[in-house]
Amino acid sequence: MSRAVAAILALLATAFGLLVEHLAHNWEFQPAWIPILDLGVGWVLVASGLVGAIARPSQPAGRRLILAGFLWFVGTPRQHEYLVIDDLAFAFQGYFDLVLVLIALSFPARWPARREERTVLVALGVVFGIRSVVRLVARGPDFGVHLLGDDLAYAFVAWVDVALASLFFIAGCLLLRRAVVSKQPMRRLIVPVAAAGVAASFAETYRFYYPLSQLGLVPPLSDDIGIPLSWMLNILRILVPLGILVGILRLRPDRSTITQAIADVGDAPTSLILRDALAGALRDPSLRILTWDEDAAAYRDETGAVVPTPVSTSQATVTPVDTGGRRLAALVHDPALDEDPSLVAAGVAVTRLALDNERLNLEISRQLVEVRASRARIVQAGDAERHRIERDLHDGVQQRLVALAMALRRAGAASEGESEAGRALDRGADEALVVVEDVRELARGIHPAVLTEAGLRPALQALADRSPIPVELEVDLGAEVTGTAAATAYFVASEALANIAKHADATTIRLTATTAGGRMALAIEDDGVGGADPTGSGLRGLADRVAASGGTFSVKAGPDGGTRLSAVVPLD
Amino acid sequence: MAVRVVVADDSVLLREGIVRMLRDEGFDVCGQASDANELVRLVAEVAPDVAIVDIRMPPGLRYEGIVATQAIRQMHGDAVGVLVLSQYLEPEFALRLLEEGGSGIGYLLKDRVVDIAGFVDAVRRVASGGSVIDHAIVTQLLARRRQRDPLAELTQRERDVLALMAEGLSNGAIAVRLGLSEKTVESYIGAIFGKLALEPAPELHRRVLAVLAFLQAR
Repeated sequence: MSRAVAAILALLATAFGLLVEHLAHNWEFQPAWIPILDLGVGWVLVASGLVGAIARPSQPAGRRLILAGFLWFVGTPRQHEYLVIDDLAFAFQGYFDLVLVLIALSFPARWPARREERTVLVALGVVFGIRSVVRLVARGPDFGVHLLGDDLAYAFVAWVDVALASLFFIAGCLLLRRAVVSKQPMRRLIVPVAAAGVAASFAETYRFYYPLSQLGLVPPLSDDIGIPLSWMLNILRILVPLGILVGILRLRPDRSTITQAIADVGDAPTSLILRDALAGALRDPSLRILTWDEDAAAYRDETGAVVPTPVSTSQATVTPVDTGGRRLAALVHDPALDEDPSLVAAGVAVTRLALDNERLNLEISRQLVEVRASRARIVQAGDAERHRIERDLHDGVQQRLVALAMALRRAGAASEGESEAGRALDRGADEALVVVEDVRELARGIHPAVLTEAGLRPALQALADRSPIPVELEVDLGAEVTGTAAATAYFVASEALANIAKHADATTIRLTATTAGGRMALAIEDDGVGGADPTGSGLRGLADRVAASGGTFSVKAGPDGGTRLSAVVPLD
Repeated sequence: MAVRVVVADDSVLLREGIVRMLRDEGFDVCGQASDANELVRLVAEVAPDVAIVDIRMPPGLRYEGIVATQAIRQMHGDAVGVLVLSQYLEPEFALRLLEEGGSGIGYLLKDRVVDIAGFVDAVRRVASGGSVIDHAIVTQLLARRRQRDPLAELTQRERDVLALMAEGLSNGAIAVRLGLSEKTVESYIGAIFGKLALEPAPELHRRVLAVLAFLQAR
């Protein structure tokens, strides 16, 4: 209910109440406390209803209380007999009590759960209807049209009222039973509402004591008893909506608690946390969440132990939690919660959400682990392949080329002196030696033997040796750096030095490599022009390579201009 | 008397080439091996003047030649010279070899075998207790030293001389190579000893120290 609607209803109730009391009250003959109490009862009903409807929008009791408040004003007895509204008031007198009993028998659900409760409500409705028709037609025994004849009409109306009183009495008893047999967590909701309902019902029972006395079945009440009793009853009526409001406010099924449950579950949705959060939200300490294990085709409890498939009993209800036709879990809860299916549905929704979320998280992290592992394997396989190619070049091509050059040289030496053939053979030998050097460079670029055979430090030193720009090398490796970490560091350094030589226009380079805490940090700084593009293919490739070995990579402007490239890789 | 040589290389083609060349040049090739273990046994058996050893041999194809050198050193001391042939330009392996210390050690890039005269000269020098380091590697080490302090004090010419000392050349050979008189070379070497703060000692000893000082100082 929006605030605007609530404000309009409040205004209407105020104006309508004042109008009705102004018209109804005979200021000459009646004391002033009567209209004041009347107004109090009606306004408290409407006000309680407004508070309830705003606080718990999904709970019908609040709106029903507002309806009861307006019905109260409609049915207020009139002392003026000349207005049509008085006829209506007479015909619809007491309907607000019907609404209150409806609330009390149903709360917190929309309609009563037990058959006898529904029967009494229907009977009350039917008898109220008959009475309204009779009153409209006959206008009662004391005034107006007398279609049925005085005695008959008088008796009929009186008996209808007796029947109503009896039904209210039965309703009161049913409400008493409802309050007594209810169990936690519903008890604390039902009791204040049922108590209010009992009060309202028994008040109506009194209201019809009068016709019984008129029929001579009970002795008439003297004013000594009647007036104070009437006082008490009207004060009791003010308490009735307040009792219902207490129940409404205790009922915290709506978004608030369920939202709280979702918040409690947070991002650590283990079954146990979910269970506690949901048990709190549903106010059912006995609540259990059994998760369905597809592989084991069985439920597991919060500790992960397999449990037999639960079935609903008088002690516990089993509500399945499914998602997309797949079984996810089962809620085992207090049957009392069945009385509020929307609450259970919300609990199911939260459970589904949490478990689905957990399942997806697990799946994603499992995939992530797998992807990381496979990426690392690809890098390792690449390194191994490079190493293999380097060895093939070294042990095959290079050896043969040297042998070839040597054979050519010897052939050249053997051919007589400065002959044409001798010179050609010598040139062939020289050419073969150039190729030997080319292949050596190629092999080193593919995978430097010094890295695998001598280690990272000499390999970095060798890179520094070959750099056309002087490299200040600081290598402090406390731990042994091998395998992927060493290869990654080497290739990062190699690529970085090559980049600096090509683009940076630097005069010095500072290369540091240190180990600490199971990680190796590599940094290469230059004093060049800076402006390296981290999204360029070279640096992108380095970043990928470092990430694949589980490390981090960054390219930043150096503290004194130039570029600072750093990589941190975990040691194997 | 001919220099007695054994040759160890897993590449038959290359080994045969080297052996043929050495025989042509008057060496006595008294054994061949195709892996490190075989080499060590062979050396123990024939006690050659020098072993020419491929750095990378079965079974591991890593740096078995250096390991074998260590074994030979342990068994025979300086009596057997070892000339390691390698495809690795990185000074790392040469330094490792030099850590063995002593004389009669050589480290050459494999392609040097094509320069028959130079190679034969290197084999003879190692066989007679000299030390030979490939000039490409010495150049790299010198470049590296230049970035640090102690050797930065040496002039270019002094560094040239030191490089040739490291290659194992005698004063006379250095003088020829640099087009200087032997006396001038001697004065350069004196300056080098001074700058490297080498105590007065027998000439050959200081020479080795000078070379090792900058090759080994890490």
